[in-house]
Amino acid sequence: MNKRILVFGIGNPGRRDDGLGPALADALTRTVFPATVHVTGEFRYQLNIEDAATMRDFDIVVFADASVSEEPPVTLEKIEPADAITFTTHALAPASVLGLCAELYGGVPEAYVLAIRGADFDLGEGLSAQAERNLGSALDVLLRFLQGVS
Amino acid sequence: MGRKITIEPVTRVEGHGKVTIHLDDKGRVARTRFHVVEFRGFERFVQGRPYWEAPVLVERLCGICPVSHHLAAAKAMDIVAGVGPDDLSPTAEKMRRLMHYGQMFQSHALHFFHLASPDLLFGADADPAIRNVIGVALQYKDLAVQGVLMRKFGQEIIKATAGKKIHGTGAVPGGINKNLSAEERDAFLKVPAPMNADHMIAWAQGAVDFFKDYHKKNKNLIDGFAAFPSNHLSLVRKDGALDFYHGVLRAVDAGGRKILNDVDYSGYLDHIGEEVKSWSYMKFPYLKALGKQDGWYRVGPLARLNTCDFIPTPLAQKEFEAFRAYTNRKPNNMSLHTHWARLIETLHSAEVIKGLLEDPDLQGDDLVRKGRKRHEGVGLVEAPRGTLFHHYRINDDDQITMANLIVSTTNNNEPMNRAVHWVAMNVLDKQKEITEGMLNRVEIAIRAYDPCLSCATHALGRMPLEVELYDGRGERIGRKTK
Repeated sequence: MNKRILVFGIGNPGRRDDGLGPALADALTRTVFPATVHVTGEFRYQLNIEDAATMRDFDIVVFADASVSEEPPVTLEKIEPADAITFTTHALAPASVLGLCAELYGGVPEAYVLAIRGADFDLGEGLSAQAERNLGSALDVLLRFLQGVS
Repeated sequence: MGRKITIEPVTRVEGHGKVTIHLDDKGRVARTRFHVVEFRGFERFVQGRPYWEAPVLVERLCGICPVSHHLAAAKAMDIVAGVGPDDLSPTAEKMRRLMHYGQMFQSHALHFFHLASPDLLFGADADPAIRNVIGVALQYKDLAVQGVLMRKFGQEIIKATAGKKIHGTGAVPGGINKNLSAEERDAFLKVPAPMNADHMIAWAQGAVDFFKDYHKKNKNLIDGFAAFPSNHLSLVRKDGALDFYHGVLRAVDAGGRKILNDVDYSGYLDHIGEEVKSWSYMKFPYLKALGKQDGWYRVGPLARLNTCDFIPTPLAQKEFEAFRAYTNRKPNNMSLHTHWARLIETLHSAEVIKGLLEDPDLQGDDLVRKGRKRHEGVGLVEAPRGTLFHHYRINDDDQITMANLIVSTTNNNEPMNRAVHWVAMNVLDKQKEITEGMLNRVEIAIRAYDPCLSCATHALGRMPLEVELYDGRGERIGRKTK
C-alpha cells in the first residue's frame, strides 16, 4: 500500500530566502517520486491550528522551512509531539501542531523537519544563489528519504 | 534605582512585540511602553510595481489576515481603474463580501478559541505550560475541536472565493476573477454537519453564550480589567448598520457623541493624522478634530459595536441589543468586552456567509467592470482587528509611486499602550515581587486587541522569547529566554 506523504513548505516568499519552504513545495509539483509513495505538497505562510486536522490523514508529514542556523545547509530530523509549549500564532512550531493533533485525534503521523539554510531574509522576492543551491540539496535529501519509505 | 521589565514578544500574538515597564526605586510604575521591533518598509517595497499587482503584493504583509489587505488594495485600485464602489457587478461585490466575511469568521474563531480562551479557562495565574491551546485541547477537547473546525470552515470559504487559502488572487481592479460554482456553494450548504453553514451559526451562537456565562461568573474581572474611556472609529454602512466590507467613516467619543459623522473615507487625510514617536516604529494615528493629545481612538470589534446603530442579521442583532443594553446604549469602554463583541461579530459573519451562499448572484458571469483610469485611489475595509486604510498613487506608466497604509494594529497603538499602563498601575505598582501572573495580565490586556504586529520571517531559529530586567541606570540585571 502506498504511503501518503504530506510536505508543508513553510515561509514568506516576500522575504527572500524565507521562501525556501514554499519553493520546495512548488518544486515537488515537478518531481517524479517512487511508486511506493503518494506525495502532497502544501504551501503555508506559517503553520496554524487547523493543520492538526489536515495532517491526520497522512502516514508521514515533513515540515520544510528555511533555517538561520550556521551548519549544515540541509538537515532532516525526526520530531515528536510537544507536550505543552507556549503558543504563538506567528511561530506555531511543528512539534506543537503535532501535539495538538495527538490531543484532538488520538494519533499523529511520523514527522520530520527539513531545515534548509537561508542567507538573505530581507524584503524582496526570489532566493539568493546560496539558497538555490541548498534547495537543490534539500530535494535530493527528501528524495533519498522517500526512496527508503516502504 | 528603577527597574525596567521587558516582556518580548507578547505570547500568542502574531508578529514581534515588546513591552517595557519602567519602575522607579520605590517600585512605582514610572513609564510603560508597547514597542514594535520589526521594521517593514513595505510601503517603499511596492513603489515602482504595476498597480494591478498591489492586491497580491500587499498580502505579504500578513499570514493571518492577508484577505483584508487584498481587499483594501483591490478597493483602492478599483478607483484607479475608474470603477467606483457602487459600480462593481453584483457578482463581484458579493464574492468579495463572501471572501471577507469568511476571513472575519476564521480570524475571530482563531483568536478567541486559541488565544484568549486559555486565559479565560485557566486564569492569568495558571501554569504557562497549560495556558495555551494544547492545554485547552487536553481539558476542553470539544472547545478545541470546534475552534479548529470553525477556522477550517472559514479558510475553505476563502479558498473557494480567492483561489487559495493564503495569498489568493480573487479580487482584481474592477472586480473579481472567478465566481462561485454551484458545486462550490453546495460544499458549504449541503454537506453533513459540522462543516456546513448552519452548524457554524450554531457553534458561533454557542460561543457567545459561553462568554455571557463566563461574564456572569467573572463580572468584576471582565468589567474592570483595563477599562478606560476612549474614542471609537469604524466604517458603518450608510444606514448605520455594521458592515465589514464598505461604508462611511464614523467616530464617537467615550460618551457617544459623534466626532466624525459618516464621512466619505476617500478624504481620510482631512480627518486622520499620524504622529511619529522616537521609541517605536509604529505610528500613532489621531483624529485631527481633537488633536494629537486627545484624538487617539480604538478600532476593532469593540469600536465597531460602539459606532454602528444595528447589525443586519437577526441572531447577532439580538446579541447586539443585549451588549448595548449592558451600558445603557452608551459606548462600552471595557477592554475585555472586546471578546464579547468579537464573538457577536463571529455570529454575524456566519449568518452573512449563509445568506451570501444562498444568493444566486454568486454564480453570475459579470465579473469585471472598466472605467476611466485615475492616478489615485483609497480603499478601506474593516479587518478583523479594525479599520484598515490603503492609499496609493500611480504615474502615467501605471506604476505605484506612493503607498500609505494604516493597518488596524497601528490604529490601536495608543489604546494598547493605555491598556498596558492600566495593568502596570493596577497590578504591578508598588509590588515587591513581579510574578508570572502579573506579567501575563499585561499580555491579556494586549491580546484583547488581537494585534497583528506584521508577520515577517518564519525561519527556524528565529523568534526567541526574551524577558529583560534593567535597573535605573539601564543595566540589565535579569534575562529570560524561551
